[in-house]
Amino acid sequence: MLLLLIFPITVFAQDRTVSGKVLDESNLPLPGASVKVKVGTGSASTDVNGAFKIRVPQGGATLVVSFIGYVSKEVAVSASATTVTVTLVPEAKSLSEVVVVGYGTQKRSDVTGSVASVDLQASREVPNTNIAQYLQGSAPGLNVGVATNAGGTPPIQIRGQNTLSGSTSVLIILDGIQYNGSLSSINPDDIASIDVLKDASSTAVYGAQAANGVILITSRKGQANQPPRIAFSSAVTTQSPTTDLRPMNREEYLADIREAYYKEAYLEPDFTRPNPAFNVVDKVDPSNRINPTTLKPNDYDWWEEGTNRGLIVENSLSISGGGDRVNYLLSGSLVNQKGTIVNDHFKRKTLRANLETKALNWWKIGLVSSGSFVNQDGSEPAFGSIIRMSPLLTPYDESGNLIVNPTNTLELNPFTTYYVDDRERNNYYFANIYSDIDFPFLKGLNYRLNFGNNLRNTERAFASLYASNLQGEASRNYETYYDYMFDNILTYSKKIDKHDLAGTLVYGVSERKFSSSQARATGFTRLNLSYNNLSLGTNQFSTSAAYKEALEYQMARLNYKYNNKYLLTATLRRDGFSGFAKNNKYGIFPVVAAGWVMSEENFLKDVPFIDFLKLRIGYGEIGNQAFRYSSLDRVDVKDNNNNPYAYIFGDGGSSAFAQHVATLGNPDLKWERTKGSNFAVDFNLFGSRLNGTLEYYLNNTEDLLFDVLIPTITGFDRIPSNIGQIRNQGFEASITGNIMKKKDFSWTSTLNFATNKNSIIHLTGVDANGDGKEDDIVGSNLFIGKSINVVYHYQTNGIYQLTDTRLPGFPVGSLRVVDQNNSGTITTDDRVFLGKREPAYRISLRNTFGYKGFTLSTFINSVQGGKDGYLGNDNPSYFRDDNSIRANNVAGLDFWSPANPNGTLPRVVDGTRSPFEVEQWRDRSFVRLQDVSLSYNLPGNLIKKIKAQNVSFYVSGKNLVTWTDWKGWDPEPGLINNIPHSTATPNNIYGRSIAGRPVMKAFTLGVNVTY
Amino acid sequence: MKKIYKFIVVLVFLTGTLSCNKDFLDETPQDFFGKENAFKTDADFTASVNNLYRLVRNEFYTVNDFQPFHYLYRTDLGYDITVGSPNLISDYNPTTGIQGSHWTNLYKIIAEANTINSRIPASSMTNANKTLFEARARFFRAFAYRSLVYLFGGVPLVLEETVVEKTDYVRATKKEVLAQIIEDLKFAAANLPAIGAVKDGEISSLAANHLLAEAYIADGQYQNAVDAATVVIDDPATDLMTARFGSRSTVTPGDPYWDLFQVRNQNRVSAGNREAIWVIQMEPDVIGGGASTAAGSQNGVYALERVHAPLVRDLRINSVPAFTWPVGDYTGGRGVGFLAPSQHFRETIWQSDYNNDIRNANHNFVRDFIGTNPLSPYFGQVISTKNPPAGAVGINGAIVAGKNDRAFYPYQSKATTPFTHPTNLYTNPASTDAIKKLELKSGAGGTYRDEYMFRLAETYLLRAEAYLGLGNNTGAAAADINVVRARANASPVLPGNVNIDYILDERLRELGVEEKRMLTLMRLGKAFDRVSRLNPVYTSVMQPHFNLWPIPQVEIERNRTGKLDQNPNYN
Repeated sequence: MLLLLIFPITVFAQDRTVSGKVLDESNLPLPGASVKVKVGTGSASTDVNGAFKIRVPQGGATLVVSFIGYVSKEVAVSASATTVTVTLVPEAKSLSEVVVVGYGTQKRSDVTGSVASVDLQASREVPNTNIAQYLQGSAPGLNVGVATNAGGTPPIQIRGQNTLSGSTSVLIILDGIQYNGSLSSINPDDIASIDVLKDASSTAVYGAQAANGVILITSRKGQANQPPRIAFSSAVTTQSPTTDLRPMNREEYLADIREAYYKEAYLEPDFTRPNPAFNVVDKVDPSNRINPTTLKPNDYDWWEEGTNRGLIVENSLSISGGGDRVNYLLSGSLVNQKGTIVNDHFKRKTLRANLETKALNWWKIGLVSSGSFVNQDGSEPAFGSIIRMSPLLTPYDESGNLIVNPTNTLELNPFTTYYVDDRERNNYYFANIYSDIDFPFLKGLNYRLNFGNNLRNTERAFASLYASNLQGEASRNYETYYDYMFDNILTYSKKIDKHDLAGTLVYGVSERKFSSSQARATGFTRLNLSYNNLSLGTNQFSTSAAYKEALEYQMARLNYKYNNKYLLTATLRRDGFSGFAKNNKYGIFPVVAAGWVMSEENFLKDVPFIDFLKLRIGYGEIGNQAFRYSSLDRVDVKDNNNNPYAYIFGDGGSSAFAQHVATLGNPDLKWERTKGSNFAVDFNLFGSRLNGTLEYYLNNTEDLLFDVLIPTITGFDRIPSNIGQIRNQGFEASITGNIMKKKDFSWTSTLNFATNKNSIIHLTGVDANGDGKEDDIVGSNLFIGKSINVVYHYQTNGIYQLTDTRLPGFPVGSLRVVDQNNSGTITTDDRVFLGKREPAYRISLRNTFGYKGFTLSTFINSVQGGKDGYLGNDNPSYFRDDNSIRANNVAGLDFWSPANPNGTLPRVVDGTRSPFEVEQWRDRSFVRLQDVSLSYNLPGNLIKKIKAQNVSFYVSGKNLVTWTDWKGWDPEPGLINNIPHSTATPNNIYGRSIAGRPVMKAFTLGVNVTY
Repeated sequence: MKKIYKFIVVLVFLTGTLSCNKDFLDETPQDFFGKENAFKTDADFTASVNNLYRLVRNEFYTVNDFQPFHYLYRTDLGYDITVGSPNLISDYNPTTGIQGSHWTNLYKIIAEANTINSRIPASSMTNANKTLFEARARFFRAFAYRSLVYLFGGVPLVLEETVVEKTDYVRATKKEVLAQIIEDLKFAAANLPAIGAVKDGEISSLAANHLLAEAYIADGQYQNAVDAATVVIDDPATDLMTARFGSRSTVTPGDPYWDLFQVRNQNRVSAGNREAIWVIQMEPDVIGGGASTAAGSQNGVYALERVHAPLVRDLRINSVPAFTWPVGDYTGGRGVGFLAPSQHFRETIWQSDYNNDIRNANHNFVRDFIGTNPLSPYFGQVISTKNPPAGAVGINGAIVAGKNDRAFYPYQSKATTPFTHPTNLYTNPASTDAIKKLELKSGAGGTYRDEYMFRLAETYLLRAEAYLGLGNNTGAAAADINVVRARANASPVLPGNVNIDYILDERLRELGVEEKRMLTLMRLGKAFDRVSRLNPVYTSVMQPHFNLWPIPQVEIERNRTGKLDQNPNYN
């Protein structure tokens, strides 16, 4: 009765109050835990001290205590007890979480395939404007490179290269719908989870498009019965290159020219004593002189002018919540990124509205929608051109006017781009409308209909007085891409005793349509109206293009679980794609996978240190689709730049349009097929102290889509074909240790490790040269038994010195090619296997330390080549001609000359080129301190005062230190999927060439506030 | 449970209707054609033939600023003066040498011609048109094989459209290839229209006969060659142009030979040019015109001006530049001085008629330049390569009489179009200053004019070759040569002085940079002999096996199931 007086309001006569405390496994208070009366209506949640008070009915009662990430507990409270203390133990996070699999979700512990979940929280505080950057190093087997332009999407690859010429795109599913837009359009803050399907048994639900793995992205939603939650975050980032490459300054540039003329600048015979009569002014390009005897006095730093400190400002705001029947999330974000290269801008606005309403108790309808507006206006100076400009030249004359052709050649001043109008906008619209019916007449039967729509509008407009040979040019280009996906998903799940059964049927269609039109005019006397009035141009051109492709698919899946111990998944998917030849439109892809939760068996149940142990084995077949129209004989009427093929007859005649057969079709072109096996063990040991996954996979890909190179005698250089077989096998480990958890201090560590080895098993199956072995395709750089990206090239052995005996055709200062067969001359027979471009393994380590309100997270990422892997072509070479004299270059290059006889890079100065452009291949292996972040959560009492739920501040750094022997630009950029067409040389890995672009080191300061 | 069945029936029905029609996955190209619908009508085949013209223009003229000139460098005509010491082992390396793209381009012409031929029977054209299009296709096929067989020797002979992967080619003999060329050209000569009946730029029966004469010579059938050439020469529609004509007929100095190379003077219909047999068409800034003024001189235009005219920018006399640059007059427009004349082309061949042969007149072979820099004492003065002023310094040092410097050497004015560049290439076309109004933009350097692929003067010289080949008629050979020489106001050659070297020299005088010199030398197997003898730049590096180019190594490798033998001494 005393209590009644204290709590006079709404207390029913028969109730009483119980107070208590909820603690975690370290006996620390758990604030925010939920406490409910099992039978009745009372509920409460714990305060910052883990304390709660709850009304319970008179007599005994049972409380249900739960907290996210912990195992819920039921506690009996006797009729007399007034206080209670509850200790919760954490669930093994990796087991309790729900993971998104294709066409549904599953509890982690029930999954039979290889599904990795990306730890988003760990990456939120690092400067990433593109969600793909979150994925870097986050899961073994998921290989993400780096992007070098503002807002760019890095290349992504899952478990090695499975194809030769097939699609290499990873399939991205956004809220259940295939997403063909750019990842750069997605606001990372909107994303709730990212799951990666890696093995064939899990990707095969997506059949033919899943050959390169699947990334499932789920956006956030409002929670039912949740008061409005307002979250605001803001961050500022500055960036600078990770490398210190820069162009030569005046002194270095002139010294370089002196070396380029060593035969005159130094005295015979050994050319190491300077020739006093030599004057470098005689040798520079005339544009570098005031008059024949006087150099221009400048030491201009074009690099300094063309680059600046990169800056990213990000702000996002979201409101979410829900009532009984409706939940919602509204969000918006702004990103403004200025890249290191002047005018490399990326601005993005995003809006999202996710709504779901329970129209009836058994019927939900919802909308997942977003709009993203990307602005990349501005034309950046050609990066190579900034490096190439001589420091003796300046971009502006004394009166500040732009010098259009500083070198008097066709090369424009790189800063002409400052004075052009460049508009580049991409607008992305995404909407998925769904209807979800839980049939009331049969529990467990659900029908879901997804109608997903993607629309992208691209607008590009450009106007420059300097373009088109200084006649002025303006253009406008519109592109529209639209796709829809229409999925019908019927699921039925039923639990009978110890049997859990779930069946899924899917039928869907999808179409993708693209069209573009461009108007361009050249020859402007006035360009004041920019690209807005093209009719002022003398010559007007317009072009357009379009394509369409379609897919149709069915899928049936059965999931079966017995006694939480034995798991089975069986799937059959049938896919049709318009891009295949008439008779091979459809492919059927089966899967079977099983799991055995050993820790549920009696013989392990009593082993104290094993919390969870599961074996998984899976087999699946997946397809890879060809590119649209590739099976057809294409009779084309324009070139790759959309310029029509035409000729003209007679003076003043009109265009006579032309056609040519552009490709040799293949009416038998069919699906490429990967048969993949996966073996894995998931474990959770020592009271959730140590958990992880070990996996081994073996993928055999057959009927490889490959553009076989054929003699151009045919009129074509390649034909799309299905040939051969490649094998990818690898081992992956992901291990997390909760190393320490004390009152104020915690330490968690996650190690990811992955190896992949691919090799070619078969190619054409033909032994035409009669050596008893199946032939290689040397012209395509494909060799049986070797990896796809093997380097088959000439071996070099130093540089030819002045007095060396040289092989025919090789000048002094050129690379000495090893004459493998001692024939006295270098031919293609002298090529050998130098290694491969694939890495041997990738490894990453994340450590997270917590101390009171502070969290420190470090992430180290490494790609290693092993003995002869991860090679990149870094081959600066110098050949003296008027172009190389005129051009500046990267500083510090170790070119050979008589005065520098140990120089490692070839320098040829006597006008004779080597018969071969010999490449030098070097190891790109690196270890990188990729992310470091330190965040601070305001303590609870302070937060309470300002009535917030959470306030945190953080500082973070990205790409802080890179340890590598690779020289030049960052070792990591470059496509992971290199398709060896006609050349073995990847054109996107940059050594010390002027073609590279820097990778950014970045520092961020940010704040997150949630109300 | 009944309800469930009902529901499933409804669902199946629903998905059934959604799965649309059977052709949902049919692939219909939207912005290109397929073979099945691109070869039906006259218009379809016309489009394919138009492309053959485009491909020829691309290979021999407009693709970029270096490939077409593989037909001129490394010959007895000239050399790349920017290359310190030529490395022909590199240039003719089977892997990285210059030959690859030419092989591919020429076989592309053959493939397109074969496609036309193979598709004609099933087309909807009239029989007359079927024959006409076959004649056109076979002309181009012969034209491409002729280039291949001269450059590479016997090559794989493909006469049908290739529709499936093929990797087992073998080389035919040179004799077999020539026989096919002759057969194709005989058909073309018999079935192509007369020269008066075709559009400007189109091939005619006479074009086929001209090429046929050359092919017969290559095959040693000299009387047939004489006969084919005679058809061309005797045709009432053809004559050497011996009187002033065309757009600049009143301009002096000038002459009929000079008129041949003035802008808009090449075509028969529009300019009354009766000497042209086959003219490659260029039209500035028109779709299909092959002569963009917007793309710069390295792509999409015939870059002969850029390549052949000297880089007079860098000529200084007593430290003062003698020329403003680039100026669209006889200083060579925006030449950058790559292709300098050999001593033989520059001096030797002109000795007998140095002052009377109009082809050696200064407006045709520019040796004296007029200073254009107002700041130079030589402004408006003659600065001669024959007698350069003291204190003249170029790129390679002091200018020496009779010696090339990249900044200053004699060049054939037909490489450029003095005073008649396209208007939008001038920086200040409205200027009243005589020099300023001719100043060119930095992207100039193209030769904006139609080009002769075949011209009647060459037909005479081919027939002379044929007469010489017959062995007993140097008189007739001399007579043909003298027709050409007479128009040039050069003294006649005596029959006793006519030999193959004389004819090759006469071709240099008459055709110069107009001719695809490499083809002529290699047709005759004279590349090694003439180049090593007459172009000292190459003397020490020229080797006999360079009389044939190497088969591209990449083709040998791609021809996986057959064996393409490499030409001798290339491995």
